[in-house]
Amino acid sequence: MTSNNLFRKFLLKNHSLLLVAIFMGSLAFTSCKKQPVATGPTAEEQMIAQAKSELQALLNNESMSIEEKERRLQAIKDKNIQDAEVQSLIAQVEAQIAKAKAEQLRMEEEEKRRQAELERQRKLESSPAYKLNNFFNSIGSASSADAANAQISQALGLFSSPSAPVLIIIAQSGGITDYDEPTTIQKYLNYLKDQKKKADTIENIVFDDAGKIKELELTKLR
Amino acid sequence: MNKIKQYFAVVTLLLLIQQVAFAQEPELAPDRKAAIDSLALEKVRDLSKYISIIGDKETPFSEANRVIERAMELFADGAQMGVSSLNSSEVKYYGIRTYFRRLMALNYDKVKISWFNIQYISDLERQPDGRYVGVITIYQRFEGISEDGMKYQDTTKKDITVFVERKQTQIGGRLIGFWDVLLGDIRVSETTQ
Repeated sequence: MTSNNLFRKFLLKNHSLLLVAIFMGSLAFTSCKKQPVATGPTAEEQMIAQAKSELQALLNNESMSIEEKERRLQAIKDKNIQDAEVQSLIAQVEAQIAKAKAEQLRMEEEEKRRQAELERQRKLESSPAYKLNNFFNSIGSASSADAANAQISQALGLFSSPSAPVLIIIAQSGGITDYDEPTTIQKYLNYLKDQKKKADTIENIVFDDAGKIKELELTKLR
Repeated sequence: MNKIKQYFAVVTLLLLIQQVAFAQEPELAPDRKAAIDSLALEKVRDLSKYISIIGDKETPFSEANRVIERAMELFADGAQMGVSSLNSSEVKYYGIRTYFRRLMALNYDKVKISWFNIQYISDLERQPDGRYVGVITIYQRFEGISEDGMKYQDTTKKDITVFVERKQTQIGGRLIGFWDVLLGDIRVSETTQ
């Protein structure tokens, strides 16, 4: 009996055992192949994750200045990360910055308008016409003759003289201006006091060199 | 004789020229006419307020005198005010200043005077002399209460002649064209309780 025969006999006798051994061996080999490599995320993966985190933080931060957000966003964009989610977040932050800039611009314009209006109001309130109108109203609505007289005295301080002329336009047609009979400021102010009337509208004021009113033109047409 | 004839011819010619000039003078534009209509009505309303101030016993003497002067400026020289009473059929006419003085001195403890229904009964019409003349009617309600509580009241309808004339004056180097409104006589047309 040769050794080959013996081997053949052994195979025939134990073929089942052999198949099991082969199967187990192949299983062990296969499972060894599928086992992951025991290393951490790659540098690129880390960069992507960090970018996402920073971008999300930028989106959520409402107190950061626009300039700072722009600076940080630019730093992320400079990394040139080709990741769809990162690109989407960048677009969101850009949109947020654009919206904030537009809002800031609107608020600046609004503030400019408000300041201009305040300035216009300050100028108006310090103008003789405004002061005079206030006197007209307070004289016409004074509760007593004494109160009206006190206002008249103050109002006369705006004028070069109590006899400063007051002209009142009653009509304008075909290039002709018609006036009521000219009066003086003292008489006109007393007229408002007596008649308790709303004053005619100021049309024009002529000042003297000292900045006092030397002639007043009113109109009934407005 | 010839000289007299020539003189009359010249005068007649001048009068004719004046008449023609007047006829050719354009009527006031409607808005200008409306403005003077309104101005005259305003002067009458102003007078109404002045009369109520002068008559009011609460008005201080000095104020009443000042207001009399202002009211006087509304009237033409020689204008008169008619005064009536339920107690007499006679209508008395006083010069305007005298009327105001009497009004101030009325023997009542309280006086209340108000004017209402102020309107034209005769529109302002241009006269040959260029002035506009019209008549405005008013109703005056008078109430006087004496110290003993006796009350007298009447309502008088009065007609006020109004004269409006365009004049010119120089102010600040400018020639200003203005309408001078003057009130004439105020005549009583009826008095009721």
